[in-house]
Formats: sequence, C-alpha cells, structure tokens
Amino acid sequence: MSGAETPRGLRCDVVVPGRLRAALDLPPGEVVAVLGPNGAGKSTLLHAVAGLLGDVGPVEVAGRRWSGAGRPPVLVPDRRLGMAFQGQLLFPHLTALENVAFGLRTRGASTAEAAATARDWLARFGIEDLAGRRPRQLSGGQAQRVALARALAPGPSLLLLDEPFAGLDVGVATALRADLVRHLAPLEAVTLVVTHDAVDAAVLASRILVVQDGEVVQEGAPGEVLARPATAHVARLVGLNVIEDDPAAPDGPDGPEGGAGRLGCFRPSAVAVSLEEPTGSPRRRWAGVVTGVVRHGDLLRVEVATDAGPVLVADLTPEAGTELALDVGRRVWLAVKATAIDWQPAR
Amino acid sequence: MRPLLGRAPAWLALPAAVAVVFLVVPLLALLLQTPWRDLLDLVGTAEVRDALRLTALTSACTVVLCLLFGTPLAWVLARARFRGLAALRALIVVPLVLPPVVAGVALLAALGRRGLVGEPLAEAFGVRIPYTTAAVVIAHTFVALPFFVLAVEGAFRTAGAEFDTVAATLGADRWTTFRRVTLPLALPGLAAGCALAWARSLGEFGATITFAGNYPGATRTMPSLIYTELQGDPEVARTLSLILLLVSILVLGALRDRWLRPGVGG
Repeated sequence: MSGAETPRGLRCDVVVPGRLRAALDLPPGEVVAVLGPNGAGKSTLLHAVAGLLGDVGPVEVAGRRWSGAGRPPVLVPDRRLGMAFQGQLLFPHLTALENVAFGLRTRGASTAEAAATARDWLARFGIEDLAGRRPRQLSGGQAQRVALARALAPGPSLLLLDEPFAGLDVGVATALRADLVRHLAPLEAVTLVVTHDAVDAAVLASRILVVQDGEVVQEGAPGEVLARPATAHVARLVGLNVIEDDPAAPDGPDGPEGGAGRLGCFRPSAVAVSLEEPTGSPRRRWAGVVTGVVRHGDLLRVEVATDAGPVLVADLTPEAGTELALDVGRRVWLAVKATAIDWQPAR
Repeated sequence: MRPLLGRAPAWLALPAAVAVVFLVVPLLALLLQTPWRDLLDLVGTAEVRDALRLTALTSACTVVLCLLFGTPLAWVLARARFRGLAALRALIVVPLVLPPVVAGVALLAALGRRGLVGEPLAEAFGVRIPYTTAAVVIAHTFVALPFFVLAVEGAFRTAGAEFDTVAATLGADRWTTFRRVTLPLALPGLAAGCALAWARSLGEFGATITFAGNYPGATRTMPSLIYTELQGDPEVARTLSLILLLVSILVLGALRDRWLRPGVGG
C-alpha cells in the first residue's frame, strides 16, 4: 500500500478493439484536454476508463486498481469517478438540488448532509437560486452547471467531462469555462476534458492529449502542443495553415527523411499575398482564387483556394488589402518563406 | 389552412363510414334497450352485489400481482442481456394472442386436480385451486400479465438505459438505480399498465369460466353473471352490461392521453 511508487493519479493501458488503444500516466491534479477529430475515440477513452465499456485492461486511479491484473474489475458504482455527459443527462424527475445530492446520498450522506453539500455546490456555480427547478426549466448553460456540480460534489478521484461546453452560446461557455478553471484548480483528482476548442484546451488544461484514429498521437503541455501541432486537426483548431509534404514541389523541403508523410504548419501572418508570381529567396508559392475576406482583429483575413488543393489563409493589413483590391474571385499568389514553415512528422 | 389536396375519395370514405356504424350501433342498441329505471334496483340485489364485489376484489388482486411480478419481469426484459432473451419475450407474448378458453384449459392442465402442478399440490398440502376465488385471480393474472409487462417494458426502455449509466457513475448500485431513477421515470407507463391489466381482468370471461367455473359468491364475476342472466332474463343482462360499459369508458377516459392521441401506439 505505502511506498513512493504507488500511483496517485491515473495510470491506464486500455484497449477497445477496433476503436481505441491508449496508455496514460497522469499525476494527480492534472487537467487534461482531449482533442481530436470527430470519431477519433475521445468519448470512447472516457467511457473506457469509467468502466462503461467492460473490462478494457489495467486502470489504476489514486492508488486503487479499478481493472486489470486478472482480477474482476471494480464495478462502476464503486469507482470514485465523476462524469459529465454530452447533453447533461440530468435526471428529469429530480430538482437541480436533488440531482447534485444524488451522488452524495448513494455514498452514504444523510438527506440533510447531502442537501447542504449540494446547495453549497450550486452556490459555487452561482445557481443556488435554481435549486428547486427541474431540468426542463433550466437553460442549456444552467443545466450544464448542474451537471458539473453533480459530477464534482461527491469528490471524485477521476473527473471525466465529455464536451462540457458543446451547444452553449459563446458568452455562456466563456463564463462557465472561467468557473470550471476555478473549481478544477484545487482538485486532487485527474480530470479528462473532451473538447473541440483550442481555447478550452489552452485555458483549462495543464496537458493536452491528441487522439486520432483511436490512438494518442500527441501529448504534452498546451503551449507545446498548440505551438507545434503534429496533426492537421489541431493545427487547424489553432488557426494555422496546414500543408502536406510534397517532395515533387520545386521548393519542397529537402531532408534526410524527405518524401511524403510530413506536415507543414505556418501562421496566416507569415503568408505574403501578391498579384504577380513572387520571386526571390527560397519560398513556397501557390496560385489560387480568393474565396473570402473577413476582418480579423485589426487585420484582414483572406481565404484562398489554391489551384494545388489546400485552402490557405493569410493575414494582412487593411491598407494592403485595398492596394491589392482583394475581393472574392480575384486570382492571387501566396508565398511563404521556407523558414517560416514548421515541419513535423505527420500522424 | 389545409393544403388544397381535394376531398377524401369515396373508396376510402364509404368503407370508413361502414366501420364506424359497425362499431357504434351495438353500443347504441345497448344504451337504448336498457331499462334504465331498473338499474338501481338491480344493483341492490344480493346476486349483483356479490358479482360486483368479486369483480372488484379479483381485478384489484390481479393488478397487485401484476405489479409485484410483472414489474421485475419488465425490467429484466428491458435491461438484462442474456442468451435466450428474445425467446423469453416471445414466450411471454403467447398468452396475449391465446384464446381465453385455451388459457383456461392450459391452467387446468397445470393446476387442475390431475394437473402437472395441481396434483402434487393437492397431495402435499391439500390445496385445490380450481373453482375457487383464487382460481379467478390466477386466470385473470395469466391473461393480464403479458399486457402489463409489455406496457411497463416499453416505459422502462423510454426511461432510458443512459440514466442507469449516469446513476452508476454517481455511485448507485442497480437496486438503488431501479428505485430512485428507473421506477419514478416509468411511473406513467406503470399506471397505464395497471389500467390495462385491470381492464383485462374486468372483462375476462373465457379463461375464468373454464378454470374457475361460475359459482355465485366464489367465482361468478360480472361477465359470468351477465352470461348466466342472458339465458333467463336478457333485460338484466343488458343492464349489467351497461354497468361494465360505463366502467370501461371510465378506464378509457383515464387512458385517453395514451390511446386517443393520433399516431401514438398503445
């Protein structure tokens, strides 16, 4: 039982045949954003660790073995986990307060204790006044707050949040995200948050896990993963241009491992837009047609469908935009300095 | 504000009208031919009161038995996963389409004096079931239970296995989940199942008279009394029938949300 090697966070090596294979080793208190395209296996990861997909291999949480090692797995009700589901799934016949109190009652709290703790959690999420409402009388944001309070209230060792901000208005999601940051900070639990939003990942998480095709393809600190994404999905999430390696291109990158299978990312601000074919220092260049021009902060963001295939975006000053008379349908040239492209092995 | 699609074609409207007449005329005849003035006098007679009391008692017992044994069975059908589940469901549905007389004969084969279970039961404990009030309740439950189980199973499915999952992640074992989540969510379906079972019990005749007989005070329920009276005094039979019709309409009224909404199956 004792000893420095007892894992305190989450350690697992789960396999869901045909859908997911993931080995994780996360310290307590870690908040992990799980990113990846639709159908990549993000929700599957959460369900697998929770025990909702049967015995999927070794899972160890806070020093307790939940499954693996040839022993019968711990049943879901006996795992100390908190889960917030897509679509909230609040019990429709119970009030907000009773929903939050549910997990406290099942773990032995008296009715009065459970109600007091539940009320406290509703207050922490700023919705104490909604305690007596039923789920159908709550807005999406309010229901999500109740769902998060319900998952957090029993003090779980593992917190699993499946797209907690999906379907919420931007303002509501932002406020809820700020609340959640506050509540997750003091937790001993490991938290896995499935999200489709780079901002969620950057703001909430102390670590990012990128899942693609049922595998963890990148893992690291948010700054690192978002700055040097190894997948086209994440690169696009953070607003980078993504190109695939094309060894046939005249200015294609040369390297010992040159050839297909690399991913190049570059910022929209690194792209130069011109009406004539650019020349000069080693560059990548594309001819294409402008498909959109929108304001992006102080800049203009120009979207170009290149003849070679990829859709690229460039940021330039409004003055430059006026000078080039940029409008939808105009043919332009894009160029990027070879040194501005960040090449990674594609995953 | 209807779209201008034209009138209902005669090929559909005429047969529909025939069907309506066919359904309404017998009920109308019953209403018109009943000597209303005798209604209260008739209800006052010992024979009718016995039959009413017995019908109320046996139908109430039927509902209780359905609740006690049908609810768990409905849960098993809705939630459990095991080999033979489909076969089990098929088996349970059979009494639904069984002619009531056949049900009575089957019950005799099982619980009769020479029956599969009846004979050892009589030898070991001296218990004889056929032609007792208990036999009426057994016959009614046999006929009503499948209706109840299917209605409640549907309600358990609608109540959603996903809420079972949520409850489990909140530390609830299956019994707690059943009591605190599944059952409360299925309450309307449970009520409908009870009404359905009660209505079946109220009108049950074939299985009852086969398995329990027609003894005044012990097994003569309202339908059996109506059948008996029909041999002697058709007017009395009509009046008794009217009483049952009124009760049925009350049940229909209680269930109207489930049955009278277009496009919603029972």
